[in-house]
Amino acid sequence: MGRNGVFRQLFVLTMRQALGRRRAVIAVLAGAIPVLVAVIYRLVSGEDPQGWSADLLNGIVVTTLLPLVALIFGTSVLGGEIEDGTIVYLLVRPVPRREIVAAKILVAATTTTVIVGVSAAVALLVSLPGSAGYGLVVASVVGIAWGALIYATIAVVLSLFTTHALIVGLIYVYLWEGVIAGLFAGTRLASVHQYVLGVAAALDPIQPSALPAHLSLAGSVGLGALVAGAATVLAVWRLAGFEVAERP
Amino acid sequence: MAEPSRPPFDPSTAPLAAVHAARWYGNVVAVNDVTFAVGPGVTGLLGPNGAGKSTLLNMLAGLLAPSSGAVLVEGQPAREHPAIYRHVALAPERDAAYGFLTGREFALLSARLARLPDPEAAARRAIALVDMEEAADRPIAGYSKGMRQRVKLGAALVHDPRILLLDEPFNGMDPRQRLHMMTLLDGMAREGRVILFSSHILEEVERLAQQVLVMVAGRLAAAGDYRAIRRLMTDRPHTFTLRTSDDRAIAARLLTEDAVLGVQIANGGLDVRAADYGSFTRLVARVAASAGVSLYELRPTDETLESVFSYLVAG
Repeated sequence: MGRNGVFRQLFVLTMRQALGRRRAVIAVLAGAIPVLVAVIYRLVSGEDPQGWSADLLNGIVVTTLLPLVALIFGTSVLGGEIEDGTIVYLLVRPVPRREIVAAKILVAATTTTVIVGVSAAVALLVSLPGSAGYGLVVASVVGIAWGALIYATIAVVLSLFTTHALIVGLIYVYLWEGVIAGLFAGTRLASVHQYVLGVAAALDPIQPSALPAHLSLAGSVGLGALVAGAATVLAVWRLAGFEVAERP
Repeated sequence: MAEPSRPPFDPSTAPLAAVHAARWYGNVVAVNDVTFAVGPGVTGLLGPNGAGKSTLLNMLAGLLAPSSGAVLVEGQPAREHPAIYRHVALAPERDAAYGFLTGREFALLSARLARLPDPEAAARRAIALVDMEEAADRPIAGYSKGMRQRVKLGAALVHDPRILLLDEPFNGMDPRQRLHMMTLLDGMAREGRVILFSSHILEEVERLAQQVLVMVAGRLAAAGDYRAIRRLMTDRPHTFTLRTSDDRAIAARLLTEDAVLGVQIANGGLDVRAADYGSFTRLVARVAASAGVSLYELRPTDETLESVFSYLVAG
């Protein structure tokens, strides 16, 4: 049994856990919100579909829904096992810790991409019919997948350091990315939100894109990879030195 | 503080060893300067709740770092050496389970994570070993405590480990299951495996273990052959509380007896420290009769396991 066998076991186990939690239902319900907003827009106004769709994508999907769903899954894929004590069953096996971390991150990123990606795609197809819509759907889903991976990695690290990872993650996202990055241009370099917009705007078939991106494609990919890579290394290091709680 | 002494064994060859191992949480000491080695066979880790047994087992299993000293498995620290889990098993005390998996799925997952060549066969063997075939295809969430305990043990043993660390393995099992598990572990010990299991129940240790480690309040109170330690436990001084018609009169008479080590008039009674259990209970009736004192109540005050253990620590 090779390396992929163990990784697949961890991936399948984590996926079953992730989809079985009540939090998954909340994430799916949150994913319905952009679609509802898009339906209301089409019924009520329908003016400037290009600009409105970019606002929907930036203002609701990338700013709010993506980090929320990624944090919901990212903080529970490993955090849930730490909380209920089952992490021990993984730790007392001859499994490299990086495989555990990688499986956990990939499940969180995959579930987030599916929920947020489907939500964004359906919402955009409603608000922006025609070929411009298809192009923006592809661009935004790729951007969302990239952001989901980075946010999920950050969330997994947080869950290895604190039992309040979801709260800490939400504070980071909404305070740092929501408020401070808006005030100081320099902090945009350290904003996952900007990495998502950078990728999506670069792939947008209509140029210049209506998305308020401040980073180039290369900048978004490079900085994002740096953040995700550093967070992964930190997570593997932390899990290797993990200590079980004495009393639950 | 004295220079840490060299252990009376070679920690690099012992299957399990602790050398001046200690672990504290903030200023709470959970394990305090413990040195021992464990060889093949069944060793019982006996002690009251909160004595530090789980901390010690978790340190041996590599899930906790010692604050000072060393814990070694086959000569190397288990911590940050996951490869060691090919030969080591841990069944944790905590009742944690993947409730959505069936017993068989959990055993199979464990076998695959253990990188066994034929995981299906290993999982089947593990399920049979703990007598769980009937419920193996039901989700663990619906299991009783005893069944969860057995499936946890089965999964822990799935890779046929050389070294077994079992934290309160018989908790929640009924007497028949307990007997089955004991027979199983006894058989594994006869094959030369190293089994260290913790328990706060004297009878469990008595039935299964040839060697014992007794822990009290984080310290290793006694280590060695079970029978020798048992003798130490029964031959120790005992305390009794007496209620009589004249506490002072009988106290004076009792003090003249060799078997009595001390008396104390307490509120509403008389506390007596006797050299051993048997001789005092025979003596007290005779003394009371000759002193013309009526004996209303005679009660051993310290029959809890805790007090037995504290005696071993103090001694």
